[in-house]
Amino acid sequence: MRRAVSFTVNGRAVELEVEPARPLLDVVRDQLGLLGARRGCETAYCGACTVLVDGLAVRSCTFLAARAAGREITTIEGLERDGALDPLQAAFIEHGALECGYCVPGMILLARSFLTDHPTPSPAEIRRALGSNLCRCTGYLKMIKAVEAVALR
Amino acid sequence: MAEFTTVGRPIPKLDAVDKVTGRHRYPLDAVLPGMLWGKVLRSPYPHARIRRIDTSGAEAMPGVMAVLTWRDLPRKRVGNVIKDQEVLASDVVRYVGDAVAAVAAVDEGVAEAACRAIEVEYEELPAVFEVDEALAPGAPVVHEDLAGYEIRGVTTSATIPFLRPQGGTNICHHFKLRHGDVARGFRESDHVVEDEFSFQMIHHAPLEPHSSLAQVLPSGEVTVWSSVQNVHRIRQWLAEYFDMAQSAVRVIALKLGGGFGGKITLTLEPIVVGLARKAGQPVKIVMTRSETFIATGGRRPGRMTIKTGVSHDGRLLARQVTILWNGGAVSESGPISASLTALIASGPYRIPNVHVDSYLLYTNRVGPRAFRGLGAPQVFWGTESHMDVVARKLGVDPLEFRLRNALEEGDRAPWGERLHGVTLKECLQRAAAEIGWFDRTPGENVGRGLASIWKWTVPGTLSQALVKVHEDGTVAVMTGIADVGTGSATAMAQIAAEELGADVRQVSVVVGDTELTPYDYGSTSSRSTVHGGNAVKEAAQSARRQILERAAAELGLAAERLELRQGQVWRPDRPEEGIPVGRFLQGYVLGFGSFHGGGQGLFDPETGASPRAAHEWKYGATGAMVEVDRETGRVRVKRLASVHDIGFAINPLSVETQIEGAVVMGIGATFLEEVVFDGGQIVNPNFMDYLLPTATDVPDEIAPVVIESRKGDGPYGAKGIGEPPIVGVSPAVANAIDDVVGARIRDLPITPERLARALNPIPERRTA
Repeated sequence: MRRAVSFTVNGRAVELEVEPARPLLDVVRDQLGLLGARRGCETAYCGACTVLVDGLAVRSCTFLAARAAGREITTIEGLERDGALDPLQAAFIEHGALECGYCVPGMILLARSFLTDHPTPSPAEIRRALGSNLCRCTGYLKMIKAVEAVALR
Repeated sequence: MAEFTTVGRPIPKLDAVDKVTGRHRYPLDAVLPGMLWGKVLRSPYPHARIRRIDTSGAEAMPGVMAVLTWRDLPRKRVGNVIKDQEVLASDVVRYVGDAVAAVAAVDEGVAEAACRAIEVEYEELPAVFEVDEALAPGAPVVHEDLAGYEIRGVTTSATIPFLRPQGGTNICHHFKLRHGDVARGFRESDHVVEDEFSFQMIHHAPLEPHSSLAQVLPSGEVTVWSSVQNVHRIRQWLAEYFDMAQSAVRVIALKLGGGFGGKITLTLEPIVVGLARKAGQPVKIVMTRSETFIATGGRRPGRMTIKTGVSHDGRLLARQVTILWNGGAVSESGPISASLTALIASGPYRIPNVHVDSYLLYTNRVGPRAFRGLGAPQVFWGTESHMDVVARKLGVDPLEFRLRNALEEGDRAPWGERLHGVTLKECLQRAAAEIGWFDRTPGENVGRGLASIWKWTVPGTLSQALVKVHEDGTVAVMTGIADVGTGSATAMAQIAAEELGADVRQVSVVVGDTELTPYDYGSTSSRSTVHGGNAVKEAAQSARRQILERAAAELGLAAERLELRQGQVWRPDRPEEGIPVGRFLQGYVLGFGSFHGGGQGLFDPETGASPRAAHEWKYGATGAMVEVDRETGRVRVKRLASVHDIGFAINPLSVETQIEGAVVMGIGATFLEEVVFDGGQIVNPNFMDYLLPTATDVPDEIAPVVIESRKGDGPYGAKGIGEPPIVGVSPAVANAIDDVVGARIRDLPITPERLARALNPIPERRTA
């Protein structure tokens, strides 16, 4: 049973017919074509599917599409402002904080949400925060440094 | 003037912007109009005979477009070396997860429901799970027809003669290395030390799950988009399986979301092709995360014994090693791994008497796959831990003990090969210095440990490349290498830019498409930058020569007097103005390059002797500094130094990330990760119960140290770096733990429980 759900994605209002029990990840990928949200584990553990819901990092693979109603969704595609990369995106590039890149959109959105709540975090807090998403390639250190660099700015 | 303009510089990956903005497309993202979704039905039993498969219920379901069983597929087996795997089981299933049937339907949910509607009647058979059970007299035999299985020589040109599957047993392969007289060596030794070590299965866990999409055209031509590290071999195997011309099969792997060795084997590809043929529509399958565990396994587990004879002054005189590999039901790259690890099992040391037996055994578990290091990390877990055990027994400093016995330039390896570019001693010294080995103070609460690193590159493999220079001076590199995330595509662009005097941003790279890119063996064995890089360098040089020759003819000057820079030709008499290459070109210039890495992998079946067993050997060392909580067994890695002679760093930033990533993967294998089996069943096939390292598990500091000897066989003297940094992590950490708390752990992973138990033995409680 599909039903109409209205929400905002990357600043644009959308109204979609969704199956309420479908995860937001499927809606974002299959119906909106925003493929930066990645399918990694389907159990809300790896965080590759992270999106922002009203500015908070959420695992979209287990967040039901119906719950998006009336909310503001930001995917990695919506992080650039006026054609300029978010400082976190720029820092990930500058620090070489990526290999295959599959986890990177989720990791950047997680860090964005974290820095909004903790504008002046300690290095240990940054490690703990990034510790909730998985990366199998980089060994995390360059990601930690990239987030530190943005936090210090 | 600097020696180089572009190589040797730490530039960010060329695709970094696409990756941080989410614009990058992975094989999993591929879609086609009219595409169906597939699911695979897998065996719930570790060993069973299939009595009956009834697909009628599934076929009758609305939305189901095709149901596939062995009846729809060629009566053949597949396999990287020994063809021991059916794409869909016809008669016997040999592990939990063995594929039995597949469905294509309008969506994933319908396909999954249809799989559940397929009725399979099994008759359970006795099964073997552990290596001892596999070797026991009268043990159930995993592959009854093993003696008749076809063996291919595709991995190296000459693997066939020494491969020994033993029909009627579970011995898939037994590799023997014999050097000197080990019995005499032990007799003449002052001390003989015996040890036993075990190593667990860990999962590759690339964050992009395995995924395949197949399209079959009415003409029969097949295109497969798949997350694989080796498009050309996947094409070759697919064409062979379906009796098709290779030219009628196209395999495309966009830059993938990680591989680590788990994506070099035919997996979903023949299933999606079979489904797409039957349904007459494109079919895509994406594995669930639990499926990647159950169907693709992980790193090959096993056990090894090691016995060392040593003189009172710390010279190694004899070493005997026996390795029992639990090869599961599918041997995959196991025969190669079991052979090459036998070569290194005695360590990178001068030992006059060496005796190694490496057994690859079939069991009723999912077949492990190639995994970063192809067995070297597991074997060095034993050998390099044992080195410290022997050093402590002799009262010799572990660094000094290694240096006293280390291989040197020009030494012969136990299998007879003369070794070159041997920089082990330098690496060990650097690793020791990096962790404060020489500044130790008595009674401090920090442990320090070292391990040597030795790793081969697979012998006898080919890379080809094309380099195009367009009329506007921009450059395109075409390489069959799949960029698995290592940044190899960026390294290729840097090499082409260097040779053509171009700006690296003017170079685009096309990777991993059998139709567009020339042959490449694949992104494995730390070979991409070396083999692919040499091919790209040659192709770029050829393009450069052609441009300058055309310019020379037109300008009436000798080609060697002209220079190519920034898409312009420069003449010596007018150094102030360049002439755009477009003036000399119609269409583009095409350069071709090819590199065949030497070595044959041809071994004497009785002694393992080989004139050149690998393309080249890589040397390094790991140093670990740890603190241990004696009560809880929790270990904190304060600093981990990973030292490598990589010859020349084409891109130092990528090299650092490769080292850090491999080290943290090694930390996972050391402390956290284990695919846990109950009999034949994996009990933790998900990221909740299987612990991968997170940002909080990373050592406080990682020191990636690069020694640039320029002695590698790759471009500008480069060697590969993908695998070596994982090889020494576990033993270096275990040696550091023993150093500070005097507890020797011999089984991976070193969980807090395991270490706490070793530190605080609980007395046996008497029961009434």
